[in-house]
Amino acid sequence: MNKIEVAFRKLEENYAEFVIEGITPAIANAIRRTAISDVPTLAIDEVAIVENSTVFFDEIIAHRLGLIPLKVDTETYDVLLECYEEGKRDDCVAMLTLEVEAEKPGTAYSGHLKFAGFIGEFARLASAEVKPVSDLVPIVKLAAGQKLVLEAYAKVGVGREHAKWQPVSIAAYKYYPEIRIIKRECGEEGKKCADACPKGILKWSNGRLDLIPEKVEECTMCRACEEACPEVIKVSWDDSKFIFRVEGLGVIPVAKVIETALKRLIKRADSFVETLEKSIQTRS
Amino acid sequence: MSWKYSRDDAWLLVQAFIREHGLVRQHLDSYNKFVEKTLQEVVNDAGPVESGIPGLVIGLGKVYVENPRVKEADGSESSTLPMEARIRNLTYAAPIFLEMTLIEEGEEKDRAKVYIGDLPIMVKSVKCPLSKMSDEEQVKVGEDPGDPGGYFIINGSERVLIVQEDLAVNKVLVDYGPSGSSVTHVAKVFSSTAAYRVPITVERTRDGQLHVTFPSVPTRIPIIVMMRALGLESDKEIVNAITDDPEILNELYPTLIEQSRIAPSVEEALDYIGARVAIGQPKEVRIERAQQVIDQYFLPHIGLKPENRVDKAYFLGQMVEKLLELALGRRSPDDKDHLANKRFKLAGDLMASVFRQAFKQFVRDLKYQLEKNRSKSREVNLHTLARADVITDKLRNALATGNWPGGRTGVSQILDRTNYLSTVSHLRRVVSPLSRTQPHFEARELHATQWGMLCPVESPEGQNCGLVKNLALLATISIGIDEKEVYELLIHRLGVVPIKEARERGVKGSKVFLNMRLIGVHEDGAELVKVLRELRRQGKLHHEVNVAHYKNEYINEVYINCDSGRIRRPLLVVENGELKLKPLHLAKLRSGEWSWNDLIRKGIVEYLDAEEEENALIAESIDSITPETTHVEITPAAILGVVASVIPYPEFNQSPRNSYEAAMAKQALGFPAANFTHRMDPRMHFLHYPQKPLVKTKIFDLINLDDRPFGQNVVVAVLTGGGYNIQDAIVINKASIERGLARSTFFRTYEAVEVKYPGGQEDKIEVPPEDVMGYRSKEAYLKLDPRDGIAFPESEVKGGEVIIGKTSPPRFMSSFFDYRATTKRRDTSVSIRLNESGIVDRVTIAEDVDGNRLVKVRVRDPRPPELGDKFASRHGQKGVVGLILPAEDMPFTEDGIVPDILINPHAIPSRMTVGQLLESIAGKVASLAGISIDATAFEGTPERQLRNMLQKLGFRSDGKEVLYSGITGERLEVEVFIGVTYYQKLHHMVADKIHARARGRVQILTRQPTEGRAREGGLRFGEMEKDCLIGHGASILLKERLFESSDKTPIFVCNKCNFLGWYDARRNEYVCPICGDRGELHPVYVSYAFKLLLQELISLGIAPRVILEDKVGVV
Ligand code: SF4
Repeated sequence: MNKIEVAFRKLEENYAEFVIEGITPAIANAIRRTAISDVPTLAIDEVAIVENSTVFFDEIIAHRLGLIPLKVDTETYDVLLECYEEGKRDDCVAMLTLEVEAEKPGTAYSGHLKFAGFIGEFARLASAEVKPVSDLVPIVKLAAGQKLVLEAYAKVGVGREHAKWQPVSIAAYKYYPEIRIIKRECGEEGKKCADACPKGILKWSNGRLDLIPEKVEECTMCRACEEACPEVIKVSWDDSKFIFRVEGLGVIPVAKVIETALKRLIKRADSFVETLEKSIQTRS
Repeated sequence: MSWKYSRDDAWLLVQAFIREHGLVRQHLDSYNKFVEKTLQEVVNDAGPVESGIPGLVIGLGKVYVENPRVKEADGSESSTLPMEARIRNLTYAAPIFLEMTLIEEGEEKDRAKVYIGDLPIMVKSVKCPLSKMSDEEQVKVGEDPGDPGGYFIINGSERVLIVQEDLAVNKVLVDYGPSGSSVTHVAKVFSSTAAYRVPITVERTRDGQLHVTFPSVPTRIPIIVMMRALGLESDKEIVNAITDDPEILNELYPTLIEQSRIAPSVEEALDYIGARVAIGQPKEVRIERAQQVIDQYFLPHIGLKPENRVDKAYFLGQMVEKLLELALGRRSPDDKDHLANKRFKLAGDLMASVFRQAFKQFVRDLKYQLEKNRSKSREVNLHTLARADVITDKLRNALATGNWPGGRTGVSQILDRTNYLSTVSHLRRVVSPLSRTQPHFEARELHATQWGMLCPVESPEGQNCGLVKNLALLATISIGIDEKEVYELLIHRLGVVPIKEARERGVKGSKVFLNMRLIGVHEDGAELVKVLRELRRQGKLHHEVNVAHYKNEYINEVYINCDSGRIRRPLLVVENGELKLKPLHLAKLRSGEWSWNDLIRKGIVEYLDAEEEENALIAESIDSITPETTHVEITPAAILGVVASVIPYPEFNQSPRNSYEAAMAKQALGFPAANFTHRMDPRMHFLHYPQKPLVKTKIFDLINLDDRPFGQNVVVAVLTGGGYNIQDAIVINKASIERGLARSTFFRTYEAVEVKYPGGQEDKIEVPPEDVMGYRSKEAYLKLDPRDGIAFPESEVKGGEVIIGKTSPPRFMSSFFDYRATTKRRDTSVSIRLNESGIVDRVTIAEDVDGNRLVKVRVRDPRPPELGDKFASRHGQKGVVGLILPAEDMPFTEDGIVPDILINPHAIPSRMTVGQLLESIAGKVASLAGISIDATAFEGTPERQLRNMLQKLGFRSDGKEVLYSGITGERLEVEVFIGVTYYQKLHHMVADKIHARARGRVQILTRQPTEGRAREGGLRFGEMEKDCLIGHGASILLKERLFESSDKTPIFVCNKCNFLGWYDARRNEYVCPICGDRGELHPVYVSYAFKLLLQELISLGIAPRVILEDKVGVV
């Protein structure tokens, strides 16, 4: 089996781009799927509306609140994760309150949500604060005199349950492109080919077609160039090498998302192994 | 100068038009005219009311319509606004006052302004205070400033008067006679006054004779006799009235000679008619009756007085001439479907016809009251004589039921508030009176003259196809101006020689018709038409006057029309091969110095009706102007109606798809009205996150559709979805739904009235006490507030739960077997419909007209999309949700874009909705570049440009992308077409339709299971299903379905008399009514329906016998 190689092209707080080599699409997909659907995050799950005289109905406001991404620091996240994995999600509930009364027409923003501490077994985390990733997510517009008072309870969950728990907005990959120019000196034909590429990967000058090497990774393998001039170019790909792109919502750093995704994958494999071992023992 | 009329200029004009006219101008104008003018005319026509008592007369003076107001039960009055009427179930109406004078022996005795009834007020018409309010003020009173108005509010419900299409009245139409009859040619006219219409026909039979028929005379009358009876003594006069053409005269001769003999003098002619209407009467009576008949019932539109007779003779003469021209092959039969031969009745005309009838009745009643009052006492009070409810009730009933005088039904309809588009479209609808069950192929077809007048796309499918139409974007309907002014102008200033004089003097030239009546002859028709058009363009003649000149070898006629009900459309005037519109004008328009009206007044733009269009050569763009061109289209896209204008790239679609979309756009959920929080409509939907489409047509900016959208932009991939999107289903992304895609809320309003009955009894809204009749279980009343008996707002309610608790007084003798009922109050609570649930949203407590407490409770039901909900794109591509797929299972692009919807590739080829593909590409460009893309019909952003833009944005120009399977993670073999398309959620939702039952209610009469979801009914096991089971030989199953599980009943049959008997439980014995004790009764199991049949037959006096035999094998 090949060695797995990973190279990060970019790693920011909320964005990561990396190349993995030596895995199958199934594994790559498993990572992607886990990142989307199985990395627990915190999101508002229950809302107690105290007063709502806005145009939006309670359920619409609750739905909107749920979709506001909530930021937690890494240490708190680890505790929350643990608590989720132990099946005690109801014991680590973050409470937020919101109270907006409009004297003149205005908007209730996510920034109006105030953290009011943890409830339950994990209240010891009281020092850690939970707050929206952005303070500028509009919740509802208020006319003069309208009022919105509520208590919101954020719980841990996974994207599989509801999209609001997805930690990433984008998690995708592509195969690694392999472009082969068959006929470099191709005359006018080559211009057609270069023009056909929407990513501008091909360069044509004086009857000679070339790749722009630093752009090759941008190739989408759309084969537009190949369709334009099949004699000149051939596009293929390496399906054991992937260019990954992950964009986080800011709830936890993408690096953490990827880490957690991998850990949870491994944990599942481990628990499979455990079960297997147990079964073998009980049989013998 | 190199200025060229551009598309932007065109839309500037359209915008100016819409800003000035709005979308429902036709209704508002017509209603305004009715209130301001017609109302008074109706009163004037009714004239002074002469009572049966000689010398006692009531003079009718000026009519006043006040502002809308409510009259409370206690008699107090206060002004009102539409929102109050909607919520309190009132009629939005204003009182009409009439000045009346009591005249006795020519001396005025009393004068008063008398209240004569309530007139329903059209919302946003002149009489509606909203029309004078600014947008902010409208918001303050709970109105949506974007609401077009143009409807009425009757008992709280919004009602539209649908524009009625009709054959032009008072217009002579010629045609061939029906094949197989002796009639070869027919000339027909519907002579119509405001009050009634009379069909008059001139027929030419195979022997060349001409006869006229009209309803009041049972037989055909020879034409010459009729004309003579109308006062044309000599044959010369008669010929003059008919024609001055020798060839036509030749054709007329045989008739003239033959028929002239029948009645050589006027008196004899009258007697001829008299003998047929007053059979067996003395001669004086006969003549008098004949005169009466021809004055009253023959061509009444010309006049009802004896002095109109000569004009009638000339009109009849024209019918004859036209008929003979047809017979001689000089003209072809008239086309009944030509728009010039059609008139459209608007809200004002329709209201006028009801009011006229109501007023007539009012006057009759007034007269009766006057006489009655007079015979009793001396004192007569005008106020007490007038019974206002006659007019009030008549008007309200007509509007509430849609039954119009003349037997038309469905004239008023409940305004469609599904979304803004459907409302506007409903207000611009036109219906034809032709029966929907007959084929009428020609009438349903699109007629060339409908170009630019009626939308070629928007018409329903099925039985109403082509009969229900919609106005095109720029079409307006004429309101009508007084023909007298035009007549004066023609005769006195423009040299039209009155017809009689012309015929006597032998003036030759063009025949001039004013509102379809021959008024005279002009020597040079072409010149006359030119002058008239010139005058109109200079603003010296009203823009509603349209002229047309028909000229060929034989025919030389000028038609001048200024009547109401003609559809007209504006066009740019071209003079000498050049547009009259100049950049200067556009600049003035842009700066707001000029409005649309200035363009009309200056003759830069003019309205043409279908008749005048016959004379016009209209270029579709300025590039095709030739020296002969008279006009240029403002924009070709204006041939479409409002709804069809919403379709992006419609010219790329197969035409029926556009029609389907025009129908579906009206079912799309959206944002129906900005005041939805206040509205208590019986049913209402709204979409939580409606979006402006990225790919728009220009109409969106013109009518503020951007503020009231009806769908959402979604990422659509054309891809099979594991079989879950076969047959037009769609696969939808679960995460998209969770993020709010296509979420909507459904509202239903329940209401209850606390009626006060005469006699002191009254209903009571309360939590019903346990001892009332029909008490449900205690749980059913749980949601009620114990203080007022109405459910708490924001409480969740389920089907069957009571939301308004109400008890009613006992009903005397209500049912025959429960005599205790007479003393106990009954439970008449309002509960949530079965199968429905929701959250109590809003409660209003008001007082209705009768002073009873009216409680309305609005229940809202959140509806996130679910399996089976219906969605559609804007290209007639509809489908239901087949699968809700988790986001991680959806295919994805390398950029991480996951489609919201997967539609099946098979939806495209056979339907040829290329427009959708273009929209998809355009949507993709729009979302990537952050712009909105124009896709207006015939002028949308071209495909080439879209492709270039997409390519520049780094995507394949054909919209395809590489997708990876979300399940296996592998690249999909083929590139997939993916883009952004505007999708609509239609109001057919599973939650409203899902239904099943295992056991349940039966009908009382037949004891068979009930039908329909609302009644918890069973699913019909029908004729064809029966055949299916027979085919399978599953006869026991068949018996189980249709008998055991349906209406199995034992009956007792007497083996002696073969009639039905019964089991008497009290005496524990079987009784046969015929044989008495000696009966020999056997139980037999039959269908209850059969038992019912037997009993019904018995009740008819038929004796059905049931003959019993042993079952084979049972011995
Ligand atoms: S496959 Fe597409 S992106 Fe790659 S080089 Fe060819 S045209 Fe450019």
